[in-house]
Amino acid sequence: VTRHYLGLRNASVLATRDLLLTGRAISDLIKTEAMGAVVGPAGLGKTFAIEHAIERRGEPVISLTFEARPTMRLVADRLLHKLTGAPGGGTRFAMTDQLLNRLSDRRRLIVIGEAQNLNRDCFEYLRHLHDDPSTRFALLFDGGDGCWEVLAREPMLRSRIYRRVAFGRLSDSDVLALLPGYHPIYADVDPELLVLINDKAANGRLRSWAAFTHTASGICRGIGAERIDTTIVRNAISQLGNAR
Amino acid sequence: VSPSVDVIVDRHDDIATVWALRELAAREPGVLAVSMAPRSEAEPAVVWAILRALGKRIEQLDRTKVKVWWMDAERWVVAHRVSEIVVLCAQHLGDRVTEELKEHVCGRLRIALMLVYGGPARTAPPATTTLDGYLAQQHRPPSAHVRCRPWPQVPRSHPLRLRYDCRQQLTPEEFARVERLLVGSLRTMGGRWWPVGYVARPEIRSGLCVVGAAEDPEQAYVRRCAAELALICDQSPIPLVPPLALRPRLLTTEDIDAIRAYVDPAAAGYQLAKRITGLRDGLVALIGGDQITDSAILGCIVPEPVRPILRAVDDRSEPVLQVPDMAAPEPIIDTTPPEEEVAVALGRLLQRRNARIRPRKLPPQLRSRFQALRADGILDRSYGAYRASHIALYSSFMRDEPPTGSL
Repeated sequence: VTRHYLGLRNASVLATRDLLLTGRAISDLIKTEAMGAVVGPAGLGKTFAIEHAIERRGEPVISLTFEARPTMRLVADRLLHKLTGAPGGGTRFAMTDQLLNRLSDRRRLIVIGEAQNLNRDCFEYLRHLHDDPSTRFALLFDGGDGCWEVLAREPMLRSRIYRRVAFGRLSDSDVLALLPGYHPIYADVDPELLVLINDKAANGRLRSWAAFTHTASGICRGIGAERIDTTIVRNAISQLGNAR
Repeated sequence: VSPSVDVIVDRHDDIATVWALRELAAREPGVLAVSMAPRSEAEPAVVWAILRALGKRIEQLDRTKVKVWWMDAERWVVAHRVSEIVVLCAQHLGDRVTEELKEHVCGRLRIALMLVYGGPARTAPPATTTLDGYLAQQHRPPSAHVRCRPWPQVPRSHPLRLRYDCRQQLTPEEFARVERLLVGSLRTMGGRWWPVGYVARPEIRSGLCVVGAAEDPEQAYVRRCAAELALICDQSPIPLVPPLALRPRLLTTEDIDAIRAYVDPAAAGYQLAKRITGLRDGLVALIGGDQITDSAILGCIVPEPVRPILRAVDDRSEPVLQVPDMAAPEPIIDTTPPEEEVAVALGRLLQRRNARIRPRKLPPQLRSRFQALRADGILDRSYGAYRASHIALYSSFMRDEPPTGSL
């Protein structure tokens, strides 16, 4: 089961448009063994949506996240480690050869987190692995701010991105339609209150909604309330530092 | 005229370009598509890219640190009868290695080269053609490669005068070829004794069977004579053996992939020969390069996907396969007395130029055999003793020059 931010309990998965599109995109990418990208600012639920889509599928998935400016060798080494359980050895050619062989045995999905950290050589290297006619894997770039700009700057990637999901913030209408079903503390609450939370604490970001819900549900538990009211909301916003 | 070096520049580095060229390579048997990894600026990177495109896999080899050179790429490209090489992502090649690639592929192998530059490559030269233009043009068929030429007709002489008779009857070029085969087969059969000094009778029979096998009857006769000559020189009786009849084994796709993975043709050839013929290592070790044809090993037909290995293996008339270390053969268990005595007596005459045997010292049952050999010009009678004739000494490589005058 996909873990909510901060381990929030009793929360449902919000069937946002972007979450549904991500599920569909991943399904298509795996089917066609193509490249795709899930991009958008931090905190909008990209990684959650990817994990949620992946857990319902049977194909093996490799998730990798790299620090800023990794080398090709590091990419090869990490990927080989994930595939074989042992660190890569030998020359870069030997590692590439092993990777090409391992990535040929069955269909799988490789998710590269924080893809904006990769440089051109790394993109080229992943492209080299993906373009090989023997390999069978879908490649999904998951990136935050600036990711799409980085991907779009590389012409060899632009023509290869088969599915792209650009995550956006939740609008007030999204909040009113979806949030009452997110957690029991929002059931039957005043819509104005939800809009207020979105405006003052969440700003359309699902990660902020999860943080608020985690705080507010704690307050509710403390005072024995079943759902939020204006006082609890203000209290929670104060605890969160009125973050926007 | 050197084959052409063409350039396609794909500014958008479109996946459709890669697909189209890979489809072309899959469709045209003479076209090989090679994809370059980023920073392929040194010889090993390019050589490995070519070898990988031809089915070589480092991972399936025993060790990962395998050094490769241009000659490896050249040997396999020729063996696969490649006539055009398409280099995808040529922008990853350095200037120096690009020049080396042109020199080896176009200059030495006379193979056309298509360099495909993708993206905003800083070093891309001007395009000489377009993708559509290249796809539409007529592509060169696989280059011709004939491993085996027919063997000249050789006289059906005794092993102890075959070399001499061949020298008398064949042209110098034909004789040189037959002599190489004689020497190679002689060394192959005789070489089995060198490490241990003895070999078991069943080993002799199976060895003779393998060394004497060939698809061409002339070649088979020369090989058989050379193997018998080795036995004669070693004072071993010559057993009667039927011609080698092997039933080729079927290869699975996994077998084929595993065999194709080897970079060293001798190692790949051993794996292939072992699996297709079913022979044990001791006999695979006897297979000479001339016993491997364009399509078969010892008459066992090889599937098309692994035939390039046959073309890559040396064609010398000596063992060419890299066989793992083997256990020493068992000693001789028994021999047939009369044949043993003939073998010992004849072998003794061939050990030194002036070796002699007095007829009265020969057992009665051998005298008629020696008289027949004398009538054949293989033995001389001198001062009442038998000795090996000049023909026999020349034919068993004890003398360099043949006797003058015909016999």
